[in-house]
Amino acid sequence: MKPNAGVQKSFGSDLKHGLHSAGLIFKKDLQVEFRTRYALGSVSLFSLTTVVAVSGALSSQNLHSDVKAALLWVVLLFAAMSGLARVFVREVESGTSDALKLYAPAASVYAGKLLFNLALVAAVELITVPLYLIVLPPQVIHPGLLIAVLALGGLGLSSAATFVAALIAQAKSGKSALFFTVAFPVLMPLLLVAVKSTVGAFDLVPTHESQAVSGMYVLACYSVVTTTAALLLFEYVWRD
Amino acid sequence: MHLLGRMSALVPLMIVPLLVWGAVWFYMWNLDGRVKRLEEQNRLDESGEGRD
Amino acid sequence: MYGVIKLLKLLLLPFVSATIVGGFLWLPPALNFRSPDLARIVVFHVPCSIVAMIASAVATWHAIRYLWKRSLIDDIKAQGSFTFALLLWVLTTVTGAVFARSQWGAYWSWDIKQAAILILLMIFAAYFALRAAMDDERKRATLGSVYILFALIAVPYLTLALPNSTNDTLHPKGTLTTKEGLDPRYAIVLWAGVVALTAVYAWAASLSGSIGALEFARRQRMGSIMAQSSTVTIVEKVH
Repeated sequence: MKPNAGVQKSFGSDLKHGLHSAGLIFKKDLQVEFRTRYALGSVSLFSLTTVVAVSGALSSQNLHSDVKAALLWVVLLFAAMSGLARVFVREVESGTSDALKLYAPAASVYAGKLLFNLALVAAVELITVPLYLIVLPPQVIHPGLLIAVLALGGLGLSSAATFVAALIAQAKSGKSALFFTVAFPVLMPLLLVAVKSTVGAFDLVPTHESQAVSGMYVLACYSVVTTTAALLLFEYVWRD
Repeated sequence: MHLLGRMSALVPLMIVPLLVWGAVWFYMWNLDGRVKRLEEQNRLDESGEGRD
Repeated sequence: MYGVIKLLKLLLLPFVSATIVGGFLWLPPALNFRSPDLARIVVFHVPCSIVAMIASAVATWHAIRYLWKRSLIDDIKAQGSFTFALLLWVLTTVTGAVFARSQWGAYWSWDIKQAAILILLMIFAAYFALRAAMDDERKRATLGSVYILFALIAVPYLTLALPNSTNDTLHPKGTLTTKEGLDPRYAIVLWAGVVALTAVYAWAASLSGSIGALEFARRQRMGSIMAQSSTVTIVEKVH
């Protein structure tokens, strides 16, 4: 990455430089992660344990699709949350955040970290959802709808959680508790809509399905609003 | 008759917020006075400072 | 100008008292409710929610100003208004629960509007947790202001968009805006309540802002006095 030499740059080249930096940050985080597999390991273990525990306790009951949808998202949320704060907390704790502040524009840092968290959430969903559908099968599965809800919900989850992670990373102690405290209220609307939409993917009631489709728009809006706000505000979080 | 019965139930219920408001107003009025005095004092201090 | 404001503050005492008395004694019991007497709490509930929104907006404005001008006074004001907003939202929730009891028989029924307000309360509470975890004053101010801006995007969504997106809610709709919505006496007390509560909030916010500014000035003077006295002792020691 070449530092800015004070040359007048066009918007196009700024954008390219920004995207390039974001990509590099994403790649670096992936490499660090693959070396230790810390985040992936802990979230996978969490989701496997939770799914097994839930299915063990409930398999004998005949559960409504509401409950199955809600449980799926609770497991996904908690599993993902245990790893989503790492992108910033690791930088602060290992002392590399100052170097990062010097060499990359703020928006690129957010974008790069967001890409990493998107990959993490995708991995959590890939591990958790098939296993969940096996041990707690719903009455019916609409695969297109389910994948869409998981994708949009995961997108919203990542963008909100990445921003909150940046906020709490500078706390003096108790970061993980603080991350949960601050992130959960912000994520609740997403959770409620995602669960409602998943209900539509899990049963045959036509009103649920139309609710699910409208829920999709809400999830998309949530992601757009959150990411935009985060990109605008990140400069202040990162630079001060 | 009905009116009197209903009123007698509501009056004690009304006294509570009334008293709370009275106390709050009194507190704010006093604070207001103290703040004004402190601000005046500050202004005098600041203009008087620099005399060493 | 100062005399007028002082007079208004004095008049606030009888004005708010009149609103309270009027709400309890002057208003007729509400029709078509399970407990018509309890339903009159609507004239307190609506002002709480309106002024809570005003306070949230003022807090957002000061947060923007802090990030723009970096004056800690703005952060003090933002925190003050934010606290009042939380208090008002709590009152809104409680009075809403009493109204719920009068209208559909239960204090809490997980109606979408109730769930939304609960989420809002949690979002507000998280602000204080975030501030408490930072040890540097500037960091607290910056992150607090950023959080206000980020999380308060949720306020209009949670209070207006979400509950109005579905007709599946028990919360009354359009009673304020439609002509036949509200008995005229209720409307009078309600809007008087809005004016009264806004005035009380404005006074309280200006008081908390002044106190914060005084404390800030005192801390700064303490700091400079201590710096001065330490240089004096150093100079004395050298001599």
